[in-house]
Amino acid sequence: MEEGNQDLIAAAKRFLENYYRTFDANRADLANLYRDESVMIFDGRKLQGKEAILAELTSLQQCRHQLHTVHCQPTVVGSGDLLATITGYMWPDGKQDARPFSQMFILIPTPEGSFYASHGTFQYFGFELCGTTTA
Amino acid sequence: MEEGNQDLKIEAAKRFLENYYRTFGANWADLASLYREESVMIFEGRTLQGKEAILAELTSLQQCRHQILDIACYPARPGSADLVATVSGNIWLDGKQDARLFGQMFLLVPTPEGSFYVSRSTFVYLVSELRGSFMA
Repeated sequence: MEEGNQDLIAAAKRFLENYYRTFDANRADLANLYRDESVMIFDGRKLQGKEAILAELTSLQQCRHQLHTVHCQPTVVGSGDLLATITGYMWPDGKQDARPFSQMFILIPTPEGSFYASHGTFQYFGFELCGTTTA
Repeated sequence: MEEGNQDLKIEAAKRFLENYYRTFGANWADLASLYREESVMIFEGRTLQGKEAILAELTSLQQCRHQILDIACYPARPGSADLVATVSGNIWLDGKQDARLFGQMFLLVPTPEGSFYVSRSTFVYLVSELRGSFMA
């Protein structure tokens, strides 16, 4: 059971790394991650369902992500659901400056060996980082 | 040499945050000293400006317990001294049995005394409604 868990976690990490590559390359391909029950909270705004979420994602212009950490762990001991937490930098809308972001997903395994997100949040810090004292 | 320094600062920031959650609810005066007038917190989409407003919000949370599941810490911009920390975990409020998953981001600015203050912070619940007990 423990090994099965490790395999699932490794699969989820690969899935997520692919998610961000796909995000940067062709956002419409992300459709399978979301379902009608999916709820995403983008920077405080709640979006319900695959259509609303995809509409939001495809409205963004050129984006680039650089991942810092990708961690996955079971939400409940014994269930297949995973809590994924991802951190890194993003360059949104073709901008030059990087913004730190943090994302969480609850990933549910599918019978085909993939995952979908039942819940997720996305938070980032803007350009106006206060008190920056670059070394 | 520079990287070693950076690693030490990141470790210090993680300890700072572990202490933050321990202090939370236990000693509000100590927590207040970690914020300043310029501090901004976005709590579930609502913007709170300044130390007073932030503490008013935090002290309104009754019987609060945090369980940290994940902490990640890295420079706010490549090479900067300011650090971004992202925390995910479970939070129990009002003495309830069921936890909610939360995500929090901090912008930590180093102080001359070797500590940090919280310049910006955001807090969001991962799931709107209580889903039942998660890992204890």
